[in-house]
Amino acid sequence: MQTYILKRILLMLVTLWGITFVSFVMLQLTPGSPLEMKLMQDKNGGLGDKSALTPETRALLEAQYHLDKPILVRYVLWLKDIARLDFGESFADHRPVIEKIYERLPVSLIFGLTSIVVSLLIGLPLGLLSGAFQNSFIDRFTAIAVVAMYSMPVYVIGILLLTFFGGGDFFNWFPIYGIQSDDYANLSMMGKILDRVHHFILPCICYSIGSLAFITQQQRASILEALHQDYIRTARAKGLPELSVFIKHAFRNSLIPIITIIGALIPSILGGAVIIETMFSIPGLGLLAWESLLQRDYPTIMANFTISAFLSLLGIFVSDLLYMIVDPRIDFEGR
Amino acid sequence: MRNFYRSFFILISISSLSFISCNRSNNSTSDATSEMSATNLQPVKNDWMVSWLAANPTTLNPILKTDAYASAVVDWLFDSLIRFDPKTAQPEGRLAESWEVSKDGLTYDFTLRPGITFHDGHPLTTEDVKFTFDTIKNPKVDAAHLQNYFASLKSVEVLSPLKVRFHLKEIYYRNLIMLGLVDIMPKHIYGVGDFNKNAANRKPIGSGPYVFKSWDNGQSVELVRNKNYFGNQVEKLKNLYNFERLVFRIITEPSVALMALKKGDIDAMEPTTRQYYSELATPEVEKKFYRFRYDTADGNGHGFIGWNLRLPLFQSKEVRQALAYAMPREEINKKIYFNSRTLAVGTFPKVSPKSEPSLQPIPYDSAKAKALLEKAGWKINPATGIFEKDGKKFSFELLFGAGNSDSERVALIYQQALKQIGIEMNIRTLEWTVFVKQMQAFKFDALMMGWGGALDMDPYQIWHSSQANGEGSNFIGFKNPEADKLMEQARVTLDPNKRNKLYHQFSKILAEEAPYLFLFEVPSLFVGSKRFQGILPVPLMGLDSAAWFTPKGMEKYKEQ
Amino acid sequence: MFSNGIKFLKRLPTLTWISGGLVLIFIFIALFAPWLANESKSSGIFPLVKFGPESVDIFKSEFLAAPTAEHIFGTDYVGRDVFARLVHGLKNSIFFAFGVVAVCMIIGTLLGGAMGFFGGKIDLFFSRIMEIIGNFPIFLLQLTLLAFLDQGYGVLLFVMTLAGWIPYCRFVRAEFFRLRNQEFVQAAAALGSSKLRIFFKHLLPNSLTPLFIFVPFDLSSTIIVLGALSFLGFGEPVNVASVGELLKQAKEHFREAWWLAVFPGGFLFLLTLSLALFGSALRDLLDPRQVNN
Repeated sequence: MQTYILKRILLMLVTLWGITFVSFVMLQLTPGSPLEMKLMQDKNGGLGDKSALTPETRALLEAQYHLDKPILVRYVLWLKDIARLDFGESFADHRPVIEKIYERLPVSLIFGLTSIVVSLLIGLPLGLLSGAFQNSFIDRFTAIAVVAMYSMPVYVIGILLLTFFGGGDFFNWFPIYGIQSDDYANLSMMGKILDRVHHFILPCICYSIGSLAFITQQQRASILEALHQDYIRTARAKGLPELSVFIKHAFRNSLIPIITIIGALIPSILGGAVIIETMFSIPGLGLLAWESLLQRDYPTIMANFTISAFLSLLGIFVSDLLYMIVDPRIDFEGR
Repeated sequence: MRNFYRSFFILISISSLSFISCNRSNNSTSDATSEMSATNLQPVKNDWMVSWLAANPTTLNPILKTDAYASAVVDWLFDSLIRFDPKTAQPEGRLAESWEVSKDGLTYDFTLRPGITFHDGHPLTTEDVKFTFDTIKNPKVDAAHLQNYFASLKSVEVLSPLKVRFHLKEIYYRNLIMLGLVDIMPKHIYGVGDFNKNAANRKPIGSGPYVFKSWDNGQSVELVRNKNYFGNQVEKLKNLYNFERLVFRIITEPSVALMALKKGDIDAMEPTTRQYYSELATPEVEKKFYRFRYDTADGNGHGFIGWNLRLPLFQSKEVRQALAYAMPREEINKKIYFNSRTLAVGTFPKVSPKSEPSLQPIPYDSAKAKALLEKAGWKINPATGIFEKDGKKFSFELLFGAGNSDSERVALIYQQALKQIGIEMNIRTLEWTVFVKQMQAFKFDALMMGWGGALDMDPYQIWHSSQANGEGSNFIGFKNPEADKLMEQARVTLDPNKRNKLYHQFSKILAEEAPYLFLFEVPSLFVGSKRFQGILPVPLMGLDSAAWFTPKGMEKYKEQ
Repeated sequence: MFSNGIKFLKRLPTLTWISGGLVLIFIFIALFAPWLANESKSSGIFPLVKFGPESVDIFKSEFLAAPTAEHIFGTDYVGRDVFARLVHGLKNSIFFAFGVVAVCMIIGTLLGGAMGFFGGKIDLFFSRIMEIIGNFPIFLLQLTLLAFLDQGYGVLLFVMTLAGWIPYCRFVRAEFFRLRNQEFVQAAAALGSSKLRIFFKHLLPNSLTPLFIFVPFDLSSTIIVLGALSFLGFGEPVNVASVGELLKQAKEHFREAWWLAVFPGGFLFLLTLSLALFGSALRDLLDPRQVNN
C-alpha cells in the first residue's frame, strides 16, 4: 500500500511536469505576444493613433518579459521559480500571480463542488431508476433528457435562465450578475448565506448540467453492470427479496465506479467554466485564465494550468485511494 | 490621460423619437439644453450614480492603465493641469491657475492654484507634476505606449512649488493637449518603491473630485465624493460632481448589462446599435430612460478597409476607386445598422472643421466600378465572369479581427457585391493579437479595422510616409510626397484656421488616391435614467456626466 | 440466413427503428445536400430549394426575414437561405464528425494496441501522455488553439482529436491485456506466429468489434462540441455553413429571429438524440451480457 502511494505520487509529479512543459511550449509557440497586447486599445478592432512601438521600446519590453531568450531557457527559469512555489509576477498588472489566483480559487471551488454535489443528488437516483427499469418509460425519458442536456449549449441555457428568471420581463426571481449583493457586508451571518445562495442558483444550474448528464449516464451503466454480476445471481438464487438484492448488493456496488468519475470531473469544472463565468459576471478561475490568455499574460496562464492540473490529479489520486479502501478486491500493485 | 480618446467636438443629431419624448415642446438643441438645465430644479447631492464596466479593470493607475474600463474610473480620481470647456472648447485652468507659452513655442510655464491637496491631505506641488512626467518617460515604467507619445517632451523644470516649466523639442499644435491633460499623481505615494508594483495601483490616491472607496475584484468599484475638493471654490467647477457616490458595476456580458439597466441596477450605459434600435426602442424604456444618438466632430472613429499598397494588385488608383464604388454602404447602413451610421468621407469625421466640406461619400455604383477596372486594363473572362489581367484573376483576401458579428456581416455583403461585379474576395479572421502581429509584418492583401477618434486628431502617425516602415501606424504603406508636406506643415501651424486649410487639401488627396475604403463613422449611442437632469449633450462636448444631477425628490439612493 | 435477419429486425424495439430511421435520414441529407439546396444555375441538378448556402442577392434579399414559401426556414443575418445553410451545415458536421471519429479510432487503436501488446516501458510512457492530456483543462486548451491558429477544418480536426483518441486507446489497451493471455493467442505464439501476425491477425480483430459501439456516441458528442465551438466563434471560417454558426447568429438576434434558433437547434438536437439512442440500441444488441435481459 505504502509503496503504491509513493509510486503514485512520483508518477503524479511526472505528469504534472509534463503538463507544465506542454502548456509552456504551446503558449510560447502560439502567435502573438504580450508586445502586441501593449498596442491593444479596443477589442473591437480599433487602435489609438499613437499605437506603434519604436525598436528601442520593443527591445526593452522583450527584455522585460524575457522574450529575448530561447523557449527552453525561459522554461527552466520558470521551473526554478516554481520549485520555490513562486509563480512570478503578472505581465498585465505586475501583481504576484499567486495573489490573483488566491482571490479567485475559492469562487471556482465553491461552484465546482456545489455543482458536483447537485449533480450527484439528482443524477444518482435518476441513473439508478433508469438502470433498474431498463427500457421502461422512465429509462427512455432519462436517455432523452441526458442527450438534451448534452446537446444544449450552456450558453443557450444561460441566456434562457437569465431572460426568464432574472431579466424582469418575465420573472424577477434571481439576481443576474455577480456573487453577492451591494449590502453584503452589512448582512447577518444567515443573511450572507442566503444572499450567496440566491446568487448561486442560476449559475449553478448551468455549471451542473454537464456533470449531471454524465453522472446519470454513468450510474445507469454502472447499475446495469452490477445487476449482471454473479453475486447478484447468487443473492437471487438464495431467495432474497428483489428490493433487498437491489439495494444491498447492486446499488452499493454500483457506487464504486462513480467515485472515480468524480475525480475525472474536476478538470472540466475548473477549465470549462469560462462561458458561465462571463455570462453571470462571476470572478472565477476560468474567466481569469481566458482574460490572461487574451492578454498573453504567460505567468498567470501557467499558474492557472499548473494549479488546475494539480487539483485534478489530486482529485483522481484521492478517488483512487477511496476506491481501494471501498473495494479491497482492486489490486493496484499489478497495474 | 483624460479624454485622449474621447470625443470632444460634437454635432448633435439625436434620433428624433427619443428627443421629442424628453422635450415635448421643441426640437431645437440649444433650447432643449437650457430647458433641461433650468435652475428651478434643485440638485440634491446625496444620490448615487451607477454605471457599467464590461470587464474588471487591470489597474487603477492612470499611467499604467491600458483599458477603457480603468479610464472610466480613474478620470474621477485625478486632475489634470487644464481642461477644455465643454461649451466653448477653449482650454481653461484646472489644477493650473494660468499658463504661458514662450514665443518660440518650445517652453510652457504652468502656475498651480494654491492650497490643492491630495486625498490623503498632502499638498499638491510642482514636484508631483515633475514626478508624473518623469515617470511617463522612465523606460522601466510599463507604459511603452505613452513613451512614444511623449517623445517630444525634453524635460520638466520646477521653478517654485507652484510654478513649473516644460521644455519641448519641437513646435506642435497638440503640445498643450499633450501636457495639459495628464493626470497628476502624488510623488510621496507613487514615488516610493517599484512604480509598476505600487500598492496604490489598486487603491489609487489622487486629487480629483472623488475619493477611492473600494474595489471588489470582478464585481464593482466604488468612489465617494471628495469633501475637500479644491474645485468647490473654483467658479467653473463648483456646480459639477453632484453625486455622493459613484458605483461602477462589472457585468461581463453585454446582454445581461442591458437587463440590469432595465431593472434599474444600472443608471446609464452606451448600448450596442442593435440594443439601441431594437430592445431599447420600446415605450416602456422610453418612459424611464433618455435615449440619444449623436455625432461628434473629433468622432468616435471610423471603420475602413485598407489595401496593402506594397502589392502590385492595388498599385492603380483606378482599381482602388473601383473597389470603393463596389461597396454598397447605403445598403449596409440600411440593413444592418438601422441607418444610424454616417458614411465616412475620409480620415476626419465629416462634421470636423478639418475635413474638406465639399467631399461627398462615394456611392455604390457597379457600372462605374467596372468602367474604372476596364480603364486600369482589367477584362472580364467570359468563362468565369471574373476580371483578369495578364492571365491572372482579380482575387484577394480580406483580413480582420475575429469575434465581431457586424464586421462579419459587412465582409460577407462586400464579398457578394464584389462577386456580382466580377472580383473574388476571400475572408479570413484572426484573433486580435494575432491580427495585429500580421498587420505589423505587412502580411495581408486587405484588412478591415477601425481607428478611434482623438481630441484634435493628427493624421501624421497613420498617413506620413515615415510611418510606413514598421514603427508607425501607416500599415498599408501609403507614400505621397505632397501629402507628407501638408502634414508636416500642419503640425507646426498653430493657427487652427490655417491648419484646417492644409488638412482640407490633404483630405482631397486622400479622396483622390483612395488608399482606404472608408466605411462608417461610429456614432455615440446613449441610454440613461430620467432621474438625472442636465444630461443632454452640450453643444461641443458629448455627454458631460460631471454636470449631471438628480433634482430634489427624485433621488433613488440616499446616503446617510 | 436472410429470414433470420428479418426475424432479428422484427425483434427490435420501436425506438430503435425510429432512431435508426432518423440516422439514415440525416446520412441521406449529408450525402444529397447539393440536390436538396443549390443554386438552380448548376446544370443537371434540380434541387428542392433554389438557394445554395452562400447564394444571395444582397440588394433584393431581406435580411432576417421570417419563413415564407420561398425561404421555408427564413433568412439569416445577411439574407441567405437558412434551409440551405442548415442542410449544408448538417452535411459539414456529419462528414467532419466521421473524420474525427475515424482519426481518433485509428490513433487510439494503434497506440492502445501497442501499449497492451508490448506493455512495460512503452505502456508506462504512453500512460503518462494519456494522463497529461486527460488532466489538461482541455476545453480551454481547445479554445486557445482555435483562437490563435487559423480557422479551418484542419485545425479543428487537430483540436478535436487531441483528447478524442484517449477513450479508444484505453479500451483497446485493456482488451489487449485481456486477450494476450487467452489460449488462442498463446497457441498462436507457441506455433511460431510472428509478433506482427499475432497483433494484426488475432488481437486486433477481436478487440475491434466492441469498439464500434462507441462510434454513434462519439459522432454525437463530436457534433455537439463542433456546434459549441462554432457557436462561440471558434469553428469554421466565417462563410462556411454550419449549425453552430446559425446558433451564434441566433444568440445575437434571438428576440427578433426565432427561426435562427428553432430550426438549427431542433435539427441538432434530433441528430444527436437519434445517434445516441441508436448507439444505445446497438450496444444492447451487441453486448452479450445484456441479450438475455
